[in-house]
Amino acid sequence: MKHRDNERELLEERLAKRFDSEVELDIALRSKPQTRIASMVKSLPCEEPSMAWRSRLNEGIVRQRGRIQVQNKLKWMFAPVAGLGLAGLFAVLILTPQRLLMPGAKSVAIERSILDDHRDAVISRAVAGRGLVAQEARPTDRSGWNKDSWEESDIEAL
Amino acid sequence: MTLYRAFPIAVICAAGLVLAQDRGRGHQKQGDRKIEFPPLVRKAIEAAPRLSYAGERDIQFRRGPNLVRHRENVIKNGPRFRIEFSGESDFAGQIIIETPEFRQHYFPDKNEIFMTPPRGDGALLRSMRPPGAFGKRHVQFREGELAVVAGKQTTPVSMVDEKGNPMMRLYIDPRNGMILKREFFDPVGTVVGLHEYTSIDYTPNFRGDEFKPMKIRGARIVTPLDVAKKLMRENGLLEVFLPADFGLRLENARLVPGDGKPTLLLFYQSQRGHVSFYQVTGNLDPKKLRREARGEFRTTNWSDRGKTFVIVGELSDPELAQLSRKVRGN
Repeated sequence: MKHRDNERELLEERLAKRFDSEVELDIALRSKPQTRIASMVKSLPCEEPSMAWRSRLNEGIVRQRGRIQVQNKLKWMFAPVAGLGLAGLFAVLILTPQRLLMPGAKSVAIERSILDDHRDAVISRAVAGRGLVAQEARPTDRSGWNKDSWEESDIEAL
Repeated sequence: MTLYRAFPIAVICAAGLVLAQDRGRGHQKQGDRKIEFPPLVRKAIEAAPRLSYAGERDIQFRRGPNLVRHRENVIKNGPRFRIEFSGESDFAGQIIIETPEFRQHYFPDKNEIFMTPPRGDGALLRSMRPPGAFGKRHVQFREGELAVVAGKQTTPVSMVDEKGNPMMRLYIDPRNGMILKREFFDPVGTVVGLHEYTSIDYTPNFRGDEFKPMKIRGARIVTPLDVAKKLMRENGLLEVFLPADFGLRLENARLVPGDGKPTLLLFYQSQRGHVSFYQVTGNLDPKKLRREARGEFRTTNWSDRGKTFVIVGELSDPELAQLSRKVRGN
């Protein structure tokens, strides 16, 4: 019973304090500086926050991302093609006879081949004398030749 | 005063010119000097048209990186000559007959007789000057120690240049002058071609008809002129030939392996040596051509209707100029 009484006393005490503070607060709010500040705040224009810049940023990012994706796709497609092309070009350069790339070298080759050919022809002619010259030699095509000449055994058989 | 100063300079210049001309002439004389053959070689040259024999010989010739070789069965009766090839040979069935009047080469697979001017034994004398000897080099002959070829004792005779490098070696039977073996060397002493008898009979039996002109029913007669015209037609080349000056006779016509464009060779023989007449599609550099000739051959060239014509041979520069003028119709 006594405990309850104590609680009521405490509550009443708190309410009294609160009442005092509220009154004090009301008095403070009605003070001149406070009312001046309040009127100043009220006089400020009411601006709602705009998200347009964010929208523009998003649009820019989306556009940029589209371009990058296209570029990436192109890179993915053409990088191997370009690599193969370069490799092919190198192969062509390596395999192409030098004389086709350098007109001067081609000219030397023809002149050298002519003089070498004449030199070979003269030597082989000298070697063969009246015999078969290497440059004129034409092997017999045995498939197109029916060897029906007389053999020694044929003569003996007669 | 000025004249007085200029006079010694003029004298020195004139002397220099005279000396230079004299040196040039000296080289030319040296280049044109006839080769002095030793008695044994002279005997071989003189005996060649008279010798009779039957034998087998090997022919080897380096053509580019390849060594081309074949074997011939040879019958010779004075100036008449017959060559056959054994059944194992790549040229089996082919027959060559040459007399002072004609030369025939029979190809059995095509039933074709290729008719060319006879080469004659004079070819031996001409071939005593291998390409290296056509330049300005001195040539000398040196006899070596006896060697056996085809079972016969022979005397090797080497033709060497001024430094002693061998250019050609002959193995001559001293009893009759028969050349049983002959080697040709390149500038570093490698054999680039040879013929060597492996057996020889100096007293063969002849029936006499071995050297008669071939009579083969249905055989087609083909001449170098036919071959040349065919090659010209097939390869879009111009029908241009050398005139018969200096005794030139067309011996062979063929395409030369080159850079893909057709290059035609017309190979002529004459008492003066061999002359090659090339027809090339496109242009050539005359300086490079002369450089490649290395002083061994003379060359001349000109262009006409997109083709370049080149004459290479052992003729002098004025003679080559005369030939080219005639071909061009000037």
